[in-house]
Amino acid sequence: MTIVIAIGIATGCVYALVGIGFSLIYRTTGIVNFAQGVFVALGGMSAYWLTSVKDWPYALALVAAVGLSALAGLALWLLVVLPLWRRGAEQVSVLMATLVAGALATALLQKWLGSQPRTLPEWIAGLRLKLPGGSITGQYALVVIATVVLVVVLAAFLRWSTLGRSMRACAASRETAALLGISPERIGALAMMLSAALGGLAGILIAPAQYTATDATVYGIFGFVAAVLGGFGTLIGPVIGGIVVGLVQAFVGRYGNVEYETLTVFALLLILMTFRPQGILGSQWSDH
Amino acid sequence: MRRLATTAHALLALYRPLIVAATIVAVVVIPIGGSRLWIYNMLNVAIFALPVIGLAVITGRAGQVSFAQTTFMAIGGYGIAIFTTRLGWNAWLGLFLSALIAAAAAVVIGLPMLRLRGHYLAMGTFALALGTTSFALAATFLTGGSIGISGVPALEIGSVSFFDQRNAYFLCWAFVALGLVVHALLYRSYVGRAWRAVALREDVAASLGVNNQWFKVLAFTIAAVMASVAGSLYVSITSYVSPDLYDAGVGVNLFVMLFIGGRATLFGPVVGAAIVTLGPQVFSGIAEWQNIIFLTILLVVILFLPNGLLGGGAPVPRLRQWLPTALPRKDVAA
Amino acid sequence: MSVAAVETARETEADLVASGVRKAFGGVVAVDNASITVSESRISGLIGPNGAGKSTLLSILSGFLRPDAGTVRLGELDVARRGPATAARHGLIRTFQAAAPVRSLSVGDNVLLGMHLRFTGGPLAVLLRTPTMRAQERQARGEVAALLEDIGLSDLQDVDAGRLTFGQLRFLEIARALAARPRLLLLDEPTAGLNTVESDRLTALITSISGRGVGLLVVDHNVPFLFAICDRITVMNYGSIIAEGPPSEIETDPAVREAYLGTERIVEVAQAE
Repeated sequence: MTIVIAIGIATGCVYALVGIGFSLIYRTTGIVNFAQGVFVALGGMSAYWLTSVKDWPYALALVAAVGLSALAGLALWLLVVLPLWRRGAEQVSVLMATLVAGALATALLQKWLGSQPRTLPEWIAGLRLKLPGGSITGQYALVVIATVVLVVVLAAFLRWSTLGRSMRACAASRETAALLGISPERIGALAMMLSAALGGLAGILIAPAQYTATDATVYGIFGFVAAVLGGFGTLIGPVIGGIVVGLVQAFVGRYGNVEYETLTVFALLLILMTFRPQGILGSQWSDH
Repeated sequence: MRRLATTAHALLALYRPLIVAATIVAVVVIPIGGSRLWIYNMLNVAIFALPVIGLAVITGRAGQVSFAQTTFMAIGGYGIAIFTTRLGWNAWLGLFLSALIAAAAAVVIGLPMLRLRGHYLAMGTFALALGTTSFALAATFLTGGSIGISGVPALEIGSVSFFDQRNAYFLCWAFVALGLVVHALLYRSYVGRAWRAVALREDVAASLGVNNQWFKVLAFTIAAVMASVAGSLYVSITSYVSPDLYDAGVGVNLFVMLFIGGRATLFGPVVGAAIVTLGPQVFSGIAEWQNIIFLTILLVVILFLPNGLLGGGAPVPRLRQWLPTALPRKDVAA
Repeated sequence: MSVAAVETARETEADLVASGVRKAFGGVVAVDNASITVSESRISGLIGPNGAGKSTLLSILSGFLRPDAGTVRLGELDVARRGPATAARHGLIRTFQAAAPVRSLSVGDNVLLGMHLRFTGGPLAVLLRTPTMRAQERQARGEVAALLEDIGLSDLQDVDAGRLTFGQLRFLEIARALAARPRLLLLDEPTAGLNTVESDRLTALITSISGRGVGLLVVDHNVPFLFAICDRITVMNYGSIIAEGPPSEIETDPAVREAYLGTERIVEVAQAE
C-alpha cells in the first residue's frame, strides 16, 4: 500500500509540473496552452535520441533536452500565440491554434522518432527506495525532490526577482504592466519557455521510472486536470491537484478496475468544476 | 507580401458564394454519377456536418465554447446500439429515444456547466468529453468496453434499407438540410438576437429581459440533439459503435471544422466538414506526410482566416504581427 | 449636514423604491443607507463626485447588484432578489455607462433586441412559423423604423452597430431601451462624451420620453443639464445621500455646495457657456 502511495505521489508530481506550466502561462497571458503535453514528449524523447543515437553523455543530454523544450516553447509563442495575441483574437481562436499546433508537433515528433515508447537510464543508477512491501526505483524519490525544489525556486523567483515581479504584474494586468515599461510579449515568451522547460523536465524525470513516448497527450491531459483541480492560476494548486490525481489514479488502478482509473479522475474533475470551478486553492475568478 | 494577402482575401470574398454553390452541386450530383468512394466520402461529410451545425449554434451564435458535442454523439451512437441490440427495439425508435436522452442530458449537464464562463466552460466541457471516452471504455456492462457493440441494425423505411450507402446518403443529407433550416429559422428570430446578446453582453441582455441561462441551455440542447442524431445515424449505417469514435481528437476536429468553415455563418459547418473530412484524401498520395501537411494548413487557416472561409469582415492579418514590437512603427509618431 | 425634506408625495404601486440600501466591496463602503424613489412621469436626477457611489446605486436599483442591507422594490417585486431580467419584465429598464451595442447585429437588430419581451411564443413557435410569431415579428420590425426615426438614426438601420460613432451609440442605447416599452428608465451618464448639439438633442428626447409618462432616473455629471430637466435631484457623497429635493433647493444647499457644486450659481455658469 505504501508503494501505491509513493508511486501515486511521484506521478502526481509529474502532473504537477505540467500543471504548473499551464498555470504559469494562464496567469501571465490569459491563455490556456493546450499544447503543453507535447513538451513532456519532447523532453523525454530528445533526451533518448541524444543518448542513444547521438551518444551524448547522459547529464548533458538531459540538460539539452530541457533546453530544447524551452526553445520549442519559444517557437510556439512566436509563431502561433503572438500573432493571435497581437490581433486581440478571441480565446477560442488561441485555444484552437494551440491545440492544432500541438497535434502538428506530435505528428512531426512521430515522424522523426517513431511511436515506440522508450526508457531512459536512471539518474542515479541503482538507487532504490526501500518501502514496507517492497522497493521501487529511487527515480520516484528524485521526481518528488525535484518537484519540491522547483516549486520553492519558482515561488522565490516570482516573489523576489525583478523578472518574477514583472510576470506577476503581467498576470494582474497586461495594459498596466505595459504602461510600467514591462513588455507583456517578452514576459509571455518567458512564461512559455518556462512552462515548456517544466514540461520537458517532467518528461525526463519520469522516463527512467516509467517511459517516454512521442505521444504524451496523457500527461498533458492529467497535467491540465491537476491545474484545474488545484486552482488554475496558482503555483501550489497544481501540486495539490497533481498529487490528488496521481493518488486517485494509483489507488483505483491497484485496488479497483484499471479501466476506471481515468474515469474516476474525470468524474472528480467534473464535480469540482460544477461546484468549485476555481479549484481547491484558486480564488473566485474574474474574466481575465 | 501584404498585397498578396489582401488579394487572396478579396478573391476569397468573391468566391464565397461559389464555394457554397460548388458544395451544393457536389452534394446533389454525386449520388447520381459518383463512385462508391465519393458517396462514402460525402456521407461522412454529412455525418460530421450535423454536429458542427449544432456547435455553430452553441459556440458560434451563443458564444459558449463547448467540447461536449462528442458526449452527445456518444449518447446517440451507444443509445441506438443498446436500444436495438440489447432491447430489440426498432432503429428509428432507438434514434428518437437517444435524441430525447441527449436533450435531457443537455439540460441536466448544461444548467450547472453553463454557469461557467470562457476558459472554465471550455475546460469543463473538455473534461466531460474525456470522461465520456473513459466511461465508454470502463462501463463494459453497458457499452461493451473497448470492444464496443456490433450488429446494430440499419434504419429502414418500408423496403428501403439505409444500410445501402446510396440511400443513407440521402437520409443523412436530408438531416443536414433540416439542421440548416432549424439554425437559420432560429437565428433570424428573436432567439438568434438573444443568442448574440448572450454571447457578447450578458448584462445588456439581462437589462432587456433576456434570461441568459435559459438561452444558453436552449442552444446547448439543440446542439446536443443534432449531435445525438448524427451519432445514431453513423452507428446505424456502420452497424458498429466503439469508444474511439468519440475520443478527444474527434471533438477537436469538430471545432476545426467549425472554424475553417466560418463559425458565424450558416453554411460554414458544411464547408468546414467537407474540407476536414476530404482534405486528407487530397494528400493521400504522400501518405506519410499527409497528416502533417494537413495540420499545417489547418494552423495557417486558423492564424490567417479568423472568420473561416465563409466568414467575412475581418481585417487582413498583417505580416507585421510577427515582427517584434521593439521595431519602430511607421504610423506612430516618434 | 443638512438633508432636504423627503418627498412627501404618496408612493404609487408603479414606483421604484429603494430604502436603506447598503453595499460594501471588501472594506470599502460604496453605498450607505441610501433611499431613493423613481416615479412615473417624473424625472429624477442623481449627482455626486466621482466615487460617490452613483453607479453602484444604479446597479442595485436595476437589480444587477444585491445590496448587503436594505430593500429595492418595484411595487410587489423584490428587485434585489429577482434580478434585472425580471425587473425588465415589470417595466424597469436601464442603459449602460459605456456604450454597449451588440456588435455583429445591425442597428435595427439592436433595437429589435430591445423588443425581446414582446415575442411570446417559444423557439417551437419560431420553427413552426406560427401566425402569431410572424405577426409579432412583422409588427416589431415596423416599429423599429418609427423608433429610429424618432431618435434620428433611421439612415443607419442596417449598419453594423460596431461601426457607429460614440454619440450615435448613446442614442442607439436609448432607442433600444425605449423599444422595451419601459415604465421606468434608468439612464447611466447619458451625456458623457456628447457635444453640445447632441446634448441638446438628448435633453429634448428625455423631455419627450417623460412626457409620455415614463419615469426617469438620470445619473450624470453634467449638472446644468440635470438642473434643467429634473423635477427632483438626489445628491450623493462618499456613499451617502446628502441632499434630496427640487433643483432650486439643491442649488442653495450648503452641504451640497461644499461637497460638489462650489459656490458659483449653477444658472449663472450655465448661461455663461
